[in-house]
Amino acid sequence: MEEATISILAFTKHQPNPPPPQLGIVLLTCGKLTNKKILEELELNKKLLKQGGVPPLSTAPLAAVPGGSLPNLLRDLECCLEEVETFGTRAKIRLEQYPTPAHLAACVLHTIETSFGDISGRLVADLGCGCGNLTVGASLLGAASVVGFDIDPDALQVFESNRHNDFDGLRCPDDVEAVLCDVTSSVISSRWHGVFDTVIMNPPFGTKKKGIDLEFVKVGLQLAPVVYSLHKTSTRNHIVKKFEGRCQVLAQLRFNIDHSYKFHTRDSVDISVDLIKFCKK
Amino acid sequence: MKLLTHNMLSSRCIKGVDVGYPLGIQAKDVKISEVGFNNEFVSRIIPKLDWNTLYNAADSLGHAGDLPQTLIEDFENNEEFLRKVHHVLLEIEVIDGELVCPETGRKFPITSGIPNMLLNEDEV
Ligand SMILES: C[S@@+](CC[C@H](N)C(=O)[O-])C[C@H]1O[C@@H](n2cnc3c(N)ncnc32)[C@H](O)[C@@H]1O
Repeated sequence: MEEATISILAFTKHQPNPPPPQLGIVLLTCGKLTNKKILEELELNKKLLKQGGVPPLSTAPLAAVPGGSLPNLLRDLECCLEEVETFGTRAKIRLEQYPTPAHLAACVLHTIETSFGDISGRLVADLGCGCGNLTVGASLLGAASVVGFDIDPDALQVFESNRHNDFDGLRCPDDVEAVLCDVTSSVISSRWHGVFDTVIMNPPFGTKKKGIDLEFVKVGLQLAPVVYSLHKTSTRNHIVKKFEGRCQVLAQLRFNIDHSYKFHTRDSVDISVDLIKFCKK
Repeated sequence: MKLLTHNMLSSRCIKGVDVGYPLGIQAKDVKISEVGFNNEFVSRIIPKLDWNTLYNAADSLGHAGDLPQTLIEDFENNEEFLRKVHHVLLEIEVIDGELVCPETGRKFPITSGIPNMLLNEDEV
């Protein structure tokens, strides 16, 4: 475990300069830390870190954080994302199409927003957006606009219907759109470079096409100064070496690939996934 | 496809194409929808745009309104102007039509608002 790549995320978005990297604590709130449950969890995470691990992304119920609307935000976000239609049985294995589960997607996006302020008011790109659950989530969290890129026309048809869902009158994520293209081709040409503020993605892990995960990261870093991405924990050492000094493992998550994904023989499998933040040098 | 995206797309990815920009728009169906206005965001994005391309795209769709043909100075403090840019960038959407490569005439279809930028193997 390379300690230097992990940092305390316990700063709020009102603090422009984050403290230097020390430990790996993920905070899902930017309110005051009076919630006992969260404190307990933090203690647990600290212990974990001393043993050299990355803490799991906190999933503590946040309802007791005083004075903030944030707890409801996380819950509402998850509820909405549960309504987002995904690949279902049409998932294409060749393209590594498995959706980010609603709960995970909500926690990830909520962390990116509350710890780093990188979604609200930002122009966001979602690479390999699939049916658009991260895109829709970013829009619901107040992104100025979101553009999703995917190679699969069938997934983007579902994306279109999701963006016109009004989530029971809450809000229609109309301010998003999709481009059908191969992210690794030169279609995302230099005109796009540096245009986005933030890239979010759950890229193909590279089990079907070796190295595609890091190709996505490379393209992401051309589009925006910061990229938040999910990667298999088993590839962490490799990634951390390759992007030394330019990445932080923010959290380790359990990713449930559900039974609808045909090639899995068991009903569902849990794989361990890292949320990694990449930055331009 | 919003005009913000149009401003960034090119056909340079096609073998033999030099600039491939801007792509022509042939629109069959255009939709206007309301998107929340964010002053700070619009002022930040303007310097990244190709203004001529934006103006011409809006004009070709018949939606340039009274958007000035050249970018004005001090736009950061001109909310009226920023709102116009916001409208053109994010609220106008081409639902059905085609994008056209200025050099080869290659057409990229736009269906249900999604531009199809996939290339055939012999084009790359
Ligand atoms: C793991 S899925 C994630 C889907 C969605 N973002 C989510 O979080 O649920 C990866 C996505 O990448 C897309 N993809 C795979 N290869 C691609 C490529 N070369 N260019 C663009 N998209 C690609 C797949 O179609 C799929 O939708």
